[in-house]
Amino acid sequence: MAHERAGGQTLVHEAMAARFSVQVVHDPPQYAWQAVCAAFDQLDMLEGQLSRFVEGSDVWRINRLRPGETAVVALDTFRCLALALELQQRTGGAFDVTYRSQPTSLPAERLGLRSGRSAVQMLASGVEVDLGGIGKGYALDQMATVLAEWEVTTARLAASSSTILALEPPPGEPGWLLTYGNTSGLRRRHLSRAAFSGSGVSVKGHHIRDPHTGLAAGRRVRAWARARSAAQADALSTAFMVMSGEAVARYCRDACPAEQVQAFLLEEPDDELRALPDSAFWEDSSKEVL
Amino acid sequence: MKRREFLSSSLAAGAGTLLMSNHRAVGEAADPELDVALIGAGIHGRTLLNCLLASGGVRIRAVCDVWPYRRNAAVYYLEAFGQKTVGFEDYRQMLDQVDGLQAVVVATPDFVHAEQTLASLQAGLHVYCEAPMARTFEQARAMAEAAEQTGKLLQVGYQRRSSPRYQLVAENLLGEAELLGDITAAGSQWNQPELWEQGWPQRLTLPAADLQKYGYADMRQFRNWRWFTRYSAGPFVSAAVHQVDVLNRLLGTPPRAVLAAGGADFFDDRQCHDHVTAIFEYPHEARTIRATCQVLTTTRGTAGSHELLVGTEGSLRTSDNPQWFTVFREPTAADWNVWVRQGFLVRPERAASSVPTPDSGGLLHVEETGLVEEYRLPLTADKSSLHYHIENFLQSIRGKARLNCPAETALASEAAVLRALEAVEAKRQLPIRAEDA
Repeated sequence: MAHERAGGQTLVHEAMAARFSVQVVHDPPQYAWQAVCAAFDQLDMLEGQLSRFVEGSDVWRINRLRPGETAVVALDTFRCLALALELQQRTGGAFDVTYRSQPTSLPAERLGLRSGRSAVQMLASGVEVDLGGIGKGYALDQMATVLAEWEVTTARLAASSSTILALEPPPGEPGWLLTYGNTSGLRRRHLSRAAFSGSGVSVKGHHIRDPHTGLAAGRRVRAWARARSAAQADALSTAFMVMSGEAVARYCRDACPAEQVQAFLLEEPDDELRALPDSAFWEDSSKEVL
Repeated sequence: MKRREFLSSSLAAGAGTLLMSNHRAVGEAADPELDVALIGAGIHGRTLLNCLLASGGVRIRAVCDVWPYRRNAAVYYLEAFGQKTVGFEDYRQMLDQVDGLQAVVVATPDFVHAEQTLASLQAGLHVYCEAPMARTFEQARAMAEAAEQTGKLLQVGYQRRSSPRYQLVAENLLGEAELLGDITAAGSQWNQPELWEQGWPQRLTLPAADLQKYGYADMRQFRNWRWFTRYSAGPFVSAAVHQVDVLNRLLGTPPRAVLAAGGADFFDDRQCHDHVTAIFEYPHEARTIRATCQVLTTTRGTAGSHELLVGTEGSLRTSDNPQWFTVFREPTAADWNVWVRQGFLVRPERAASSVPTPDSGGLLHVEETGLVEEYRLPLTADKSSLHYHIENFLQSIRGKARLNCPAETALASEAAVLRALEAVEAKRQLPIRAEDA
């Protein structure tokens, strides 16, 4: 599961149909290894709650509610769903965890959340929840919480290569190095205390659906989102595949500064990458071809 | 509703798939609320808490754990559900100080199950105790006797007993349809993912005096109790009790003898066996059914956990994971269409033969060798087996159900699996005495 690297160790674990990895720098290494294992335990528990494929999971139970029925769910499920519905509203429906539902109800009128009881009420028929667009990012945030309990602070967590959560940078480094962009212009950036996520159609094809039309999202080939939380970055990278450039710019402008939201859009494979806003957290002037 | 009525109504509705609704509709009369406490707030305790909360009609009045880290996290967690829960370090103080408790859920290390269950029963509480029941068979038997003497319910955490999928198999496929013909062999396999060593946040280390007060040698053993014989009979017993209980139920009898081998082969720093293979002998009319039972803790877990029954007409693979649950029809077996029509099975998508086999006239249709027909169960569960099992416990307290796994039922499986460990040491076949079960 683990292998040593200079300046730290990397541990991997399969969950949520993805390979999660944690690169961690901490002394003693054995303590860090155990802390990451505890984070993976948390990940496994979350998969059992958030996956729509696991029989008996919270999402499985929600998807089998009839209109008017209520299910009490684990607190993480409730919080993840609450964040998803908030982002659904803020993105004008471009991010929608009920996109698989029958189009006989409005997305905003499908689920009711009762805080204080951690309960979800089904408001319409034919509703199906799929947290695939936010669950892995949410899991990374919760894994980071476990590491913080263990006082392990220097780490980079990743769900496959699509969503990254960077904690404190390695000693002497400005952040955890990553690249993004297209082959004609890869960007190298250092990320710390923030998350970064990418979506696109180049690898898995047109798998992202526009919730407004039910059709494959074809507005652009790739989109990246930077945000303070991995759940938000994960969800926004999907939403930014669907939203117009103007809508993305408006979202980034209206976001609270503490959310650290920035978008990077690639309309066509050979286009120039567009950053929105262009100088919020990462300036876009230092393109580097690798 | 009986199983048959349940099947009929669902199929009549054209569902094709059985859905067991478990959620209360708005306006439906609520069950009376029960006052419950949890002893042991670790990862499994958290899962049981979620099942209790999801079942509804429960007030979690108290949570007990010797580790403040777990205890405080559970109390804080329950606040989000509107629960007013008090945390306790010592379960005895909890039993003394919390008035009005009706039930306790025990999810602690195996070696304290018995004392906590006995004290709770004697305090007049119903108990849900995680499996295995206890560290030793004598403790388990004392628990069952105490339940009988006090008249309180003692549900043992063999959650497959409450799974609608296993119920369908026991009552319909084997009980009514006798689908497999004569059962000739059985087995079970549990490929547990490698259990990594559990650490702990350094700042949350329990003082040595506290650890000793509660029976632990040190913090490492406290966190990894499953690997030390002082606290647990080991992973084999923890896993195999569930599967042997399935075999006991489906074969209709406990085993009468066991031969076993095993050892701590893979991990050199753990006391309990990391791999055990046992062969149980079940009496079956005038014959013997032999059942292999293997538990590994050295794998990636991808091979899953499942039980197997082999008969003259077909084979059945059961599992808590629905992906593994399959029924195979022998090519020479009688037609199973009648059971498909009755809603016991779902026909495989690809038929074994392109032309119906004639049943008279001596005409023989010739073509390539047929495929083994792989049938599925027409059932989708609404929730996990554990969730069903907890609900069965709560409804039994309310007088609306009967326990699916009372202690006296679980004893036979506890006896068999603990006897298998003795057979490992004895290196020979040992009888499993009827009085043990």
